[in-house]
Amino acid sequence: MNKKLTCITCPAGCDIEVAEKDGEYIFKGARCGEGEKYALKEMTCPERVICTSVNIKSREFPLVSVRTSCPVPRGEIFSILNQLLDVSVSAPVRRGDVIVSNISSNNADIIATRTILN
Amino acid sequence: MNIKDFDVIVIGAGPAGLAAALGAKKEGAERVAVIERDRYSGGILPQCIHNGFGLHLFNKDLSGPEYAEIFIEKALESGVEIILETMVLELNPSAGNGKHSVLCVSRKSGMSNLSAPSIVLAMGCRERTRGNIALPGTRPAGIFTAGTAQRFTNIEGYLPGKNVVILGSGDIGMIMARRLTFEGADVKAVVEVMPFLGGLNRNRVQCLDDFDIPFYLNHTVSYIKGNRRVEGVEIAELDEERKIIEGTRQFIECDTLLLSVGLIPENELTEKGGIPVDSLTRGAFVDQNFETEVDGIFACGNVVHVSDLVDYVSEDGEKAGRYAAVHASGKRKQERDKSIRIQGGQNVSYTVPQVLSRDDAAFEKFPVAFRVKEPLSNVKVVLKGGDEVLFESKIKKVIRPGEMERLMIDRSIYDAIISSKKTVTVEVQR
Repeated sequence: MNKKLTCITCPAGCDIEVAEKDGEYIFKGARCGEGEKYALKEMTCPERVICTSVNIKSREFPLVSVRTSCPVPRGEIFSILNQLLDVSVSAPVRRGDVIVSNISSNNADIIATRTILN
Repeated sequence: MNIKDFDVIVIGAGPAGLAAALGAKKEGAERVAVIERDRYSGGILPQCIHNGFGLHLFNKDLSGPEYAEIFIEKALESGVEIILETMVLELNPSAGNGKHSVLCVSRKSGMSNLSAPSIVLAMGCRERTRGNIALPGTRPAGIFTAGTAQRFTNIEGYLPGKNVVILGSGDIGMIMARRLTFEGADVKAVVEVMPFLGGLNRNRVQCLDDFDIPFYLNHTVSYIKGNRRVEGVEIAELDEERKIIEGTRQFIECDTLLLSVGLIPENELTEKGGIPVDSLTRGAFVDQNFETEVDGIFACGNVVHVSDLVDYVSEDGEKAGRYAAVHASGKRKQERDKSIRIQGGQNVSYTVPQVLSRDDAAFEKFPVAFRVKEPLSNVKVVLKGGDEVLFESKIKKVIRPGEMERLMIDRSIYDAIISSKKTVTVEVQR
């Protein structure tokens, strides 16, 4: 059975056609190698980078933005978000600081994406 | 009144302005100031906490705040002065002594008049509102532009609502559909008036499809109901003339309506300063170096035309800044030959730049950015000088209005344009 995917690796958003032959996937339409990698991942274990925010004790802002350090399995998105509900940090926080370590089955960390000093 | 002189003044510390300031520094400008009305720099980026930034420029998948901080740090390190919480009230071109000036005001230091031989306009854009699209119904609380809702959610720490309908499939609208879903809201529908997606395809996949958010093309919000707070919206299907098809009206209960219905370059300062503005882009006419029709005044980023990739905004900003520094140094010949115009032809809604400044000695290759009017497949991009074809691209499978196209003008195409001496037209042909 043929399936159509839209690559989300970059904003070009290539439409990739997936065909299955002898238990192997064949991809058509990706303009770069990243597209084929994405399509294979999407067919086997789709992954996403999760971006959200956590509470911060700061004079400047109530929230600090965070993300997973690498893409995590798509099925784990809401369990990760739930784990972050009660997380609170205190300023100073610097971009790249680990806020929660090892949050997903593939060992991603939650890292700060903004520097809040005060 | 504070009076101060600079080499280059940049208005706006978003991605375009920061890149322009850095570009000016790189080119040797000493006194570079960026004036920003918010209490932090970075423009819209700090509230764009999602990833997907920097793929083109850094080959990294960064979030908005990270991308912004890289530029803010570089600017501060190189000695750029960022003046926060300061609003420019007036732009005065040719204020005397070969300089332009800006009148600005801030709570801390009152009124200032700052002048420089080069000014870079980088004020960005603003969102279209309910007023711009004349939505019928009552006027309850709970109607936000998507970007305002994004600021509430990601910076100020307020959830705009719990049951949400989003009108418009622009990128910010789709990103907010996912963001509000993450924060526990129920996004009931995303409704798009046109028969095609407003934003990038990848955002439909990862923001709507991933979370099974209902998406309706050829639909509009036909009525907003609610007394104090939004109680729901009526949506309806549209025919080919964008008119409501009776019998398709349906009511969706919700407490919040977000509008993601387009962005408008913010050019009040530009227009009041008498700088010619293109009615198609609603930004200043610029040449390939982002200089407006007024010598020494440059414009870059979303104030020129709305981009969908910040990476391109940074590239354009850097170039505008470099040329602003060259102008400020006085090393450039004052008269530009601006006789060759660039315009959109068949299927193309606009081009940037609109003007080709002739400088054969200092030529560097540059992109002509354009958008198509509707999605097209199996087409080629054709560049014409008058009726003569100067360049033809390979066949492209798909070109979508939501995705900006760029046609690179290299030396050989440039020479062909110069020798044809005619207005250049960019067309997309089947």
